[in-house]
Amino acid sequence: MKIVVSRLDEFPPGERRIVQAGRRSIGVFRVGDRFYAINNHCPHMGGPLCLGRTKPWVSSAGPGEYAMAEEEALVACPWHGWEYDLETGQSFLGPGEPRARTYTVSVEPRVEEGTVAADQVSAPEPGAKGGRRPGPYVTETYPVHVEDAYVVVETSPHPAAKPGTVGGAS
Amino acid sequence: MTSTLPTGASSPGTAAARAGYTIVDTDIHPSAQAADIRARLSGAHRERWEMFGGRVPNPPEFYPRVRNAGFRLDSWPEAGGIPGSDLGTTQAQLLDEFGIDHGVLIPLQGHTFGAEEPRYSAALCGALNGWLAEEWLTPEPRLRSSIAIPTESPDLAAEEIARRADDPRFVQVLLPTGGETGFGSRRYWPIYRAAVEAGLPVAAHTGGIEQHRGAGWPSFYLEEHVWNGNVMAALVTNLLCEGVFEEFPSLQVICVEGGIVWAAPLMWALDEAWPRLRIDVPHLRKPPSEYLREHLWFTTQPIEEPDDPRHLTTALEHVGMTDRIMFASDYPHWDFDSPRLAPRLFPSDAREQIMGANACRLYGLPARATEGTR
Ligand code: FES
Repeated sequence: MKIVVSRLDEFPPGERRIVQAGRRSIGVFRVGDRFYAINNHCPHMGGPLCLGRTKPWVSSAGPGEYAMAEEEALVACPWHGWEYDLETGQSFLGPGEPRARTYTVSVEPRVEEGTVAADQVSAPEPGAKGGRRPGPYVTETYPVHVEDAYVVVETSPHPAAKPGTVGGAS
Repeated sequence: MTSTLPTGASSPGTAAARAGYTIVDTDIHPSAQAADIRARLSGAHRERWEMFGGRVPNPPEFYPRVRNAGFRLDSWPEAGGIPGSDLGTTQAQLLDEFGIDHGVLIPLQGHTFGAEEPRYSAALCGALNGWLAEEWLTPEPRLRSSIAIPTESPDLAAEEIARRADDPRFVQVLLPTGGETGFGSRRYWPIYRAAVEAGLPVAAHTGGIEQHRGAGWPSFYLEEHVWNGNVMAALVTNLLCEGVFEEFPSLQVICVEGGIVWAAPLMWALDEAWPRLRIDVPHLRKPPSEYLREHLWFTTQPIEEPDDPRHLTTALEHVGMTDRIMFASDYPHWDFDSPRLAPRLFPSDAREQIMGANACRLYGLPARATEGTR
């Protein structure tokens, strides 16, 4: 199922929208020129994940030294604070436990109404990132397309994925 | 189709899928706004409230600073105000969302109000209880409440307990875990006497003017956050050794938000040493564990969560009191336990007792009607 989220010009960078797809609630985030869609249900205890704060990736070369990635690409659950990669849904708390199911994300360039997506690209596999060991949970993420000047989320099962970008549109 | 933040919605998607058993949440925190208290004060107390407020800071002003001001980030009411100040938000995010049958309110403001100078303390606690009765218990029949008391003025506390005793919606007396001195001390006994006379249990919830201390003032929230079981164990041991359970044989004490499994090694140690130290505590006439098993209850949030859940089951077997453990969510605090998912932590053969049956027995609450009789 495709859900039209917003007109592109009404969805500035740094904002998010929560959309309902049947019984499912999905958060769509615009980070710079990239879009991410992630299930608004935290695999830990069911918190409304997409109401949480977003955070940049942090890396460290040693005690007292750290660098923050420029763009915010993690969301921290508003309940207990588990952090999820917006791109893959991977959480990085509690390594070594079994992980939950993943979804993939795809990008479509500008398309005419009713046409099918063009070049699909493989998503990065959830897993180790920035030297962090993946935790047990991977929350669901969804493809975000930019069709003409609308941001669209795809909720049907999909084989490949990547965050949508503004570049694909007008 | 789209909405912008904050939606104010709780867990997305489905309405409450009702469990097949009664759910009682025994630790829900309401918070009165300053104006709610002010409206219920008169004369000098109102002037003092306006000019000085309280002498003990409320969270999150105290140290160590608590995480996210102590709250679930999604629990700030849409209409403004602090989490727990709005009944509608609590109904939507907790009672309706999880199909909770009964909830017990624990107004933590009583912890600090209870330590003010005596008359002011009594006036603040009276205002808080009045606000609970009018704004929460009257419009929402699923809720019950604790009685906030002027803890450090036990004679006035006894008066407040007697005043609320005829209102069956108040089901327990609220005590912090830290006071000016140990709560086993005789100076606090008027509180226990009044509770017993009113037929009410006493709920000791972690916190108070000593917060979670016990080994000095911690620098770090982590230290304080995980320390509450130790403070609770100290309180329980103090009540026992000072002879409170001997003096008040029908008194029931609920250990709220203090963990559970520490009770097993505490009972082992007490029972092991007591035979040799009986002359020290001649007022204790039976093994300490017997007193604890007859007088204590526990709530689940924050139940201990070992990596291997079987270890919790084993530890709870050592405690041997699953008929006295009651589910608690701790809403709207950030370490909230979901009534939908937390039951998985509990031993399966005790799950329904813990989720509701034990609390129904303690508080005299009706179990959920089965479908046929609804
Ligand atoms: S429910 Fe999201 S971190 Fe616990």
